[in-house]
Formats: sequence, structure tokens, C-alpha cells
Amino acid sequence: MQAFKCERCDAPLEVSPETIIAICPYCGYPNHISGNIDTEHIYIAPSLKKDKIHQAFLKRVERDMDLRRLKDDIQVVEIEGHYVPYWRGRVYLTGEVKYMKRETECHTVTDSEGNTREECHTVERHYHEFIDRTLYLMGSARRQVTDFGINDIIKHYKKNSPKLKPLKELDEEEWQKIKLEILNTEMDEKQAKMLMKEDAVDVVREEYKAKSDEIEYFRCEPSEPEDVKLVLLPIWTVYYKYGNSIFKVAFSGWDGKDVAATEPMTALRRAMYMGGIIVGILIGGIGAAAISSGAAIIPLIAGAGIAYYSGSKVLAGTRIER
Amino acid sequence: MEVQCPTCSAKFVVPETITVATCPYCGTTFELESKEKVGDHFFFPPIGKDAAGLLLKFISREYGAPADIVDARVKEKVLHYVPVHFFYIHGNLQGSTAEEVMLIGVPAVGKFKELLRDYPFPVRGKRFFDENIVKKGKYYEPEISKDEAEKEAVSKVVAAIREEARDSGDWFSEDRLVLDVHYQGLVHYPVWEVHYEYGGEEFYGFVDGADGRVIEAKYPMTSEARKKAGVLGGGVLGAGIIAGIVFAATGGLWGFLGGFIPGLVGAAPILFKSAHRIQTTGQIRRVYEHIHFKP
Repeated sequence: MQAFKCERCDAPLEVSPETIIAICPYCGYPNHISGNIDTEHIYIAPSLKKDKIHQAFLKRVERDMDLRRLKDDIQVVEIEGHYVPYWRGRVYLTGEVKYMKRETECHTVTDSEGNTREECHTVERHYHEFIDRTLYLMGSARRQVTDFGINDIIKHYKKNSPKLKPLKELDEEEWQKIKLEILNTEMDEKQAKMLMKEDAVDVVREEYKAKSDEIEYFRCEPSEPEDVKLVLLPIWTVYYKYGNSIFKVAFSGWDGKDVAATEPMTALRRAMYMGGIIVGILIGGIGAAAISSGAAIIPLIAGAGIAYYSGSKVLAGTRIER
Repeated sequence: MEVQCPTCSAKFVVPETITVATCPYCGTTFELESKEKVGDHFFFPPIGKDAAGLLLKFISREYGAPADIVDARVKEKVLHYVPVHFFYIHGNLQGSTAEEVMLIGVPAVGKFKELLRDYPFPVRGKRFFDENIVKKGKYYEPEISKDEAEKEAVSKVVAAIREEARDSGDWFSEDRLVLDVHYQGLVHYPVWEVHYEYGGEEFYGFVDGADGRVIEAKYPMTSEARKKAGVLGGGVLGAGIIAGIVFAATGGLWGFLGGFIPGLVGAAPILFKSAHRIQTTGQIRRVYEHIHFKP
């Protein structure tokens, strides 16, 4: 098999069917292998340098209540950064939905002796609404969405969007400065658009599903996704050693914000989860005792939920913070 | 005639008689007329880390694992190349909003079917198949044909569409179902199987060969940790009962249940741990993400 060659230095490039940009391993030049995406639509958020990320990690250690205690035994093992590709776009949706919701209706009844009491019963209400909205969607252009920090960075991006630059406008000097590996895109523009349309409808349907007891009619037409861009976002992972084990923290590369972390489980944390179970018992007990009728099931379930969550964490090996 | 590769846009000349060509630059195999990619064969190169070390290190972080488990004797380490069929399927129900797009990997060897069920396979970094890997690990020919795997993949998509149809107030019928199935090729995926000995007993684990994550591992919990967990769980349960009795004074049966049930539910995962000497653990989350693009 014959290899692709670097546009600038003619060195062989490693290219697979998913490659969009191949960074030359010799001179670092980004070659656009853009068979299935228009380079015009690729944007990049330039990353901070490695030492800034290291500083951000040290700050996190100072700030974090668990890590601060372990500070002297923590050792940074490795800091690595990547550009991760994301697709983003806008979908306009129109449609119609009819749904049923069970609601409790109460009214005060006065009996023949003049006593008043509250009477409640459940009614089925029917609603009819029209859908007319625009969704801004974003998702990883890679399949492995469970990868550490990949989805967390989307949440951060929405709150603190970096300044994006068209990839084409990035000059050589800037490339040399941020020379990070760009992870391959596993989803081309066509697939991304199709998924966006489908997911937009699902998002709306899920919303109605959550607020109704039954959907009776649902029609929703998505537009072709507009303003579709491939955005390359920098993610840094700092690996650190504590005791015998390696833990990690993911940082957004444009502003050095920690977006996800695994941490050693300290005794204090375990005690806190134990406290969580007690809180659950108290919520359930106090709530149910105060209501003392069928509706008492609500604090009971809430309390049991908190207790179960805490109980399953008490003996966990590591802790994930997002 | 001259053709253009749908992946890398390279132009090259092929004989007039053929219908399928492989790009000499990037290796994509595609149909000339439709430009659809067909049946490529890939593999994932394994990472250059010691799978047994990764496994034992991961286990050592788990609650109740013996502190010296990292020094356990590794008895056997095998690299399996598991064949996986990949499909890209787009399905929808005519006249309905029910629609699904999925990329599904179906393991093609019975032995790994359970281990890799709903596995979040990466697609990044795969390479065109190289015969040399056959010598480096245990290589399996697919036992499950492409067609059988396709049936399995399609049934997943259909199940999802059925559910969406129900949630849209529609009914599902086969004759309105439109499926568009693209075979993405066969991938040989590396999985390490590690056997280790601790305290005269043998345990095993599986490690993802492409990224080093622990898929599944067994380990013994120390009796001290089990006792601790037992006492802790019992304490939580007791606290629930005591709280129940206290709240029963004001809230009757509801008050009792309100204290007791959260206590029971909170104690359950702790007691469950304490009741099992051999624990199972892993790093892979197998939730199938129904919605990929989120607002």
C-alpha cells in the first residue's frame, strides 16, 4: 500500500479511512485529508500550553478538599493533550403532540353538619401542543462517548465557549505552538447530519415523555441541520500517582478548567457517603411520618434513592468527580 | 477508467471490467458505481502496555482487595483477536417519527459474546488487516457469519424503533419499516485474558487490548474487609430500624417504613459486598447512549 505524503516535506503520513487531518510526524504540518468533510467547516479552539495545564492541576489540588490532604503524596506522572473532534449544528423542529397527564385535583367539601374537608382524586388531563423550536446540538465525532472527559467537555463548552478559529486560517507558527495530536473523526458529515436530525426528534419526544403519563400522538419534522461544523476542542489529561495507583484529571484546553476527575477514596469521603445514607433515612422517616398517607410514598422513595446511591458508593474503589 | 476514492478523494486508474476497487492510497474498498464502502477487514493494534500489570493495579484500588495483590503471580496471559462485524444501520417507520441510526458491533465468536455484549467499541485507530497479527495472538475466524450478525444488529434497531413508535402514540408494523443497512467490515479486536494466582487460588480477568481498560476481573476480598462491610451494613440496617421505631411514634406505619426502607436499601449494596468473597469488577460502562447529539 502506498502512503499519503506530507504536503510540505513529502514525508509519509499514516492515513486510515477515518482520517481528516494527518499531522506530519516529521515536520508537524497538518495535512487535510478531507475526502468526506469540507475543510471550510473545520474549526479549532487553540489550546493553552502544557505548563499552564500543570499549574491548573496544582491549583485543583489546593482547592479540592480530598486532594489537599494528600498533597505531599501526590506525584504527577504524565500530562497529555489531544484535540477531540465534535460535530455541532442547528436543527429546527416543527410538529404537534397530544398527551395525557394524570393530575391530582382537590377541592374543599362541606358536609351537612358544616364541617369542611379536603377531597382529592386523580383526573386524566389531555393536552394538545404545537412544536416550534430550534435545538443547538453537539456531540462527539467519535464513537466512544464514554471516554473520560469527552462528554464533560461539551457541558463546559456550552457555558464557556472558546473563540473558534477556522482551521484553514491557522498559520504554521501557531501549529508549532499547539502541536497536539488530533484524534480521528469516526463520523463523517453525512452521518452526523442524519444522527442530528434523528436525535433532535428524540430529544423533544423524551421531554414530552418525561412530563406526561402517555403520549397519544406525536409528529415532529426536523429541518436539515444548519450551520454544521466540525469543532476541534483541546482536552488535557493529567495523570497522577497516589499510593500504588494512578488517577487522572481532565482539563479543557482552552481555559484550563477541570471537567472530570478520578480520585482516591479517602476515609473522610466514605464517612460522607455514610452520612448520605443517614440523610436518606431521615428524609424518608420524617417525610413519611409527617404526611402519613398515600403521598408519603414520595419522601419514602426519595429517601431510599439517596440511601441506595450513598450505600453503593461507600465501598467503591475510586471516586469520579464531574 | 479513472475513479475517485470516496474517502480520501485520490484519483487512480482501474480496469474497465471491475466493479469493486481498493484505493491504493488509503486502502478503502468501495463499489465503483455507488461509491459505497464494502467489507473491509481491519484490526486494532494492541497498546504496548503490560495487560497483567494494568489488571492487578486496577484491582488493587478496589475496596477490600488484598494490598499485595499487585505482586500476585501471573500464570497465563493470552492475547485474543476477536472478530467483530460492524454495521451502520438507519431504520425508520414510515409515517412516524420513530427513527434510529446505530453503529453496532456484533462479536462473531461465541466465547466472547457475553463478555463483549453492548461493548462500547472504539473505531479510532483501526488499521487495515495485517496477516502478521495472526502469529502474535490467538486468532479466531468468525463463527458467526455476516448475515447472522446482521440479523442480530437489525433486531436491536427494530427494538429501538418499536419503543420509539410506542412513545409516539403509533403502532409498529413490519410493512412500514424501512431499513438501510451498511456493512462496515470485519474488525479483529484485541482482548487480553489474564490468569493470576493469589493465596493458592486462581483468578482471571479480561483487559481491552486496544486501550488497556479492564473489561471484567475477579478478585478475592480479604476476610477483614468482608467483616468490616458486614458490620457497616448491619449498622446501617440497625439505624434504619431505630429511625423507623422513632418515626412510628408520630407517623404510625408510614413513619416506620419511611425510616426502615431507606435503611434497608442503603445497607443492601454494603451487605451484598460483604456476602461475596470473590468480587467481580470492571471499568467499562455498557450503557447504550440512546441520544448522541444533545442540546
